[in-house]
Amino acid sequence: MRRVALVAWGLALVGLWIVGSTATWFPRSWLPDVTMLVAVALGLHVPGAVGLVAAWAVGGTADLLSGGPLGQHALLDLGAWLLTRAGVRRVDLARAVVLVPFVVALSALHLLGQWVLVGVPELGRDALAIAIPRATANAAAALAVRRLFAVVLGRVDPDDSGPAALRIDAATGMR
Amino acid sequence: MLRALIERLRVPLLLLLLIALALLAIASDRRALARGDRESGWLRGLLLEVAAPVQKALTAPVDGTRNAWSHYVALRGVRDENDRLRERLAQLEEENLQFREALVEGGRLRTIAEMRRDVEVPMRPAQVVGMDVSPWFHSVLIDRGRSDGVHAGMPVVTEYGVAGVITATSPNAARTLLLLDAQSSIDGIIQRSRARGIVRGTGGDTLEFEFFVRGDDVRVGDLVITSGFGGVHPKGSRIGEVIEVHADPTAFEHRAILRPAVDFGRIEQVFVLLWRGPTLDLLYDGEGDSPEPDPGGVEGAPASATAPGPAEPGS
Repeated sequence: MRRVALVAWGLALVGLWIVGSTATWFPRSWLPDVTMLVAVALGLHVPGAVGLVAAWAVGGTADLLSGGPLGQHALLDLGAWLLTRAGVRRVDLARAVVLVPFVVALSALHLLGQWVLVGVPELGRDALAIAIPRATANAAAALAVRRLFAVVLGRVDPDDSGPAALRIDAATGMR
Repeated sequence: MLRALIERLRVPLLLLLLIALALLAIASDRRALARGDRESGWLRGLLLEVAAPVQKALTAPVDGTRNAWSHYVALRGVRDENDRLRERLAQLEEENLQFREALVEGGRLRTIAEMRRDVEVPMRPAQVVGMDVSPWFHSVLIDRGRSDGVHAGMPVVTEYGVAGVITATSPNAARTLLLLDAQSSIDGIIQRSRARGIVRGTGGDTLEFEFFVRGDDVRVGDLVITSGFGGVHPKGSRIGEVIEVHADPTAFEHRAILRPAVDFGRIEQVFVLLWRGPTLDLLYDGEGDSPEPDPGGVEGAPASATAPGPAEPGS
């Protein structure tokens, strides 16, 4: 499971590099939130302490590569992982028809969370002009990231390529 | 029993620890930014160091295509432009010769050369290799770092005006917080009326100028330049132009909206001024981090980045 988390972190790092480079010539509002999507994928595939730490580390890496305050992505991606774990218990997030609205809702929560934490962005029409394309990009990319994770995890850990919905930690009750 | 309890509480405790760490990081980073000494730790430095060449390689094909296209477009009609430029060059050479002659005759050339050395700030050109990964924040990754004399707290400009300030460095890369970022603020003055205020990033495409003087001291079309009081940017660089004024006669504080002098949407190359204001130098005192002007740097700030206007002593 640790190897899976490490691979997820590596994928997030490569994703951040690609997004950072693409943003020099492509509108940033249409680029997906890579680390949030990786946190969702971690929530689908990696339960327990390892998933928790991996989601935090993925967000922390975005913090280090961003000009925003340190710690905000770490906290928000931790939240994304927790919500995904909660979602996995109730609905079948492996299905695209469920995953897409879930990611859109998560994008909105992410925005609110960021506003609460660091006061950026100011909520209003300007924020919506960025948030709507970003949520759309997130929804579109979520399916690709889910697929990529299934393929990569299938190679890294063949027993772990499916969503971890039925794994229950007997000691903590967390899945 | 205790072991079982710890095992049971392991994940919730870990969760609390990670949340606490993140909140602590947010608070301390915001304090560091407010103080102006947000120099990077080794981990951020390491990530910047790795990210810069990778992102440079990733942007290279796009830059290449863009350059090839702009060169193709530029080539069209280049012959006519060449003829015009040759004519202009001949005129300027003639003028230059006359000026030189006059200066040498007056024995002032040496004095002017010495003054240039004192007044102008050495700078380092840098290429933008990556943008902020979050659309809510405005920062760029540049391909120059500490080995080029670039340090946190140094101002960054383009040929059009102020771009931002260096906030994190590694040996060969640095992150620049752009003026547009909501965390960014800079002391500015209206060039015409000398009305002073604070220019803040809005997180969008415009800047906000907060001022406390009479409303009519700030008008649409006024140019805002750096005052030099903030201790980060030298005096007289262009910040932006007033496009809206919200001056409520009953309020103490007024607001104006500025269009930045720099087109941040097309920022490709920047110049780091190898200079750090006295306030920031105090913060780094004793850390061996004080920047020394590098003779290898490009001498002199870009002429058009400095706004024309009444000359005042630098801050």
